[in-house]
Amino acid sequence: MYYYGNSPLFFVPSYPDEEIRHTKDEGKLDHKEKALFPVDEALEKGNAFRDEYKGYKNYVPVKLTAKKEQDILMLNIQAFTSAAHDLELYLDIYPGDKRLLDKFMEYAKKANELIEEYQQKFETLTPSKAKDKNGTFSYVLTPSVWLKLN
Amino acid sequence: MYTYQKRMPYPIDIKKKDVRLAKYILTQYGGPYGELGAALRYLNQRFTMPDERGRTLLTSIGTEEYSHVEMICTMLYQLTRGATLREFEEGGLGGHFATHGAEIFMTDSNGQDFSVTGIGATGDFIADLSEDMAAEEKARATYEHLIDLSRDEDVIEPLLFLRQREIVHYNRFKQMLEVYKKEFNR
Repeated sequence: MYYYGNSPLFFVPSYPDEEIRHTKDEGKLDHKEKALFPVDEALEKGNAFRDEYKGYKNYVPVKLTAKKEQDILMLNIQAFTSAAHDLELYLDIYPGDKRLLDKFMEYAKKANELIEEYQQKFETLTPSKAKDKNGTFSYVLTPSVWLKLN
Repeated sequence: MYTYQKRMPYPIDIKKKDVRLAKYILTQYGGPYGELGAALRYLNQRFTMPDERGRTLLTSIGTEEYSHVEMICTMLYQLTRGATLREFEEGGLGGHFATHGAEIFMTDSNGQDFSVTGIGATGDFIADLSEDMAAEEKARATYEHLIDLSRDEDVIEPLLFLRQREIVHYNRFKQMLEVYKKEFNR
């Protein structure tokens, strides 16, 4: 997964189709179809794949909620980007899994749209989107992540 | 190349100062099974993977590990924010304060500076991916120790998230290893 700061696309597939190594098993996946958590639950659990989630003792991951519109939008960004990232790691190994690739593209598209929306409504997350209405370089107005609470 | 977004992968909002807990969590910054070592391990090993799948997987996971370094540092910052010299001493970080003041530094919980000697780089993709699986398990075990040592939900929640990521990475490395073993007849 690469992030292009100067492009409206934050998520693009890691490498183009023609570079995918073609094996003799092409088209026959040697793994079961992966069942996914909904993206919000995947963020809470830290894992997009239902069959791989392993909890610790009796701890139950907290339901992530927010009151302010900005914080709700950030949670949605975190949910879709995390889910897209998880699918990307899987597709790195099995680039021929068309069903997961479609799902990845859906998540990545949604993540990109949400990041755009967040930057338009609230604050810039990247320097390339940092010229505000007053002509100020607004990237320095966005608090660093350790100061930003949500 | 790298670009950066000013946002967290998972929300962290620690309201209660706790220097002693920060001392324990330090190990996941500069300790032997910490996030910094993980990032360096994978981003270093990727050059000798046999094809683009392994190279890409190690790049992607190594990059994610850097975001985890930032999560750990954020937790350390918030746990020690506004702490007095007295609180640093009582929390067991008097020695840290003597050298680094209130600044975060890459050591383990006992003040041992970060070392790369535990990072495997064999030039053999089977050996390296096997080491990566072990590294993820050691990090998972460390997170479980830290969760056991924590009482604050604001700390436990991101620790549970980070622990789960180790499980995900272990599974990916295992799958990559199995695919390569089969295809390269190793």
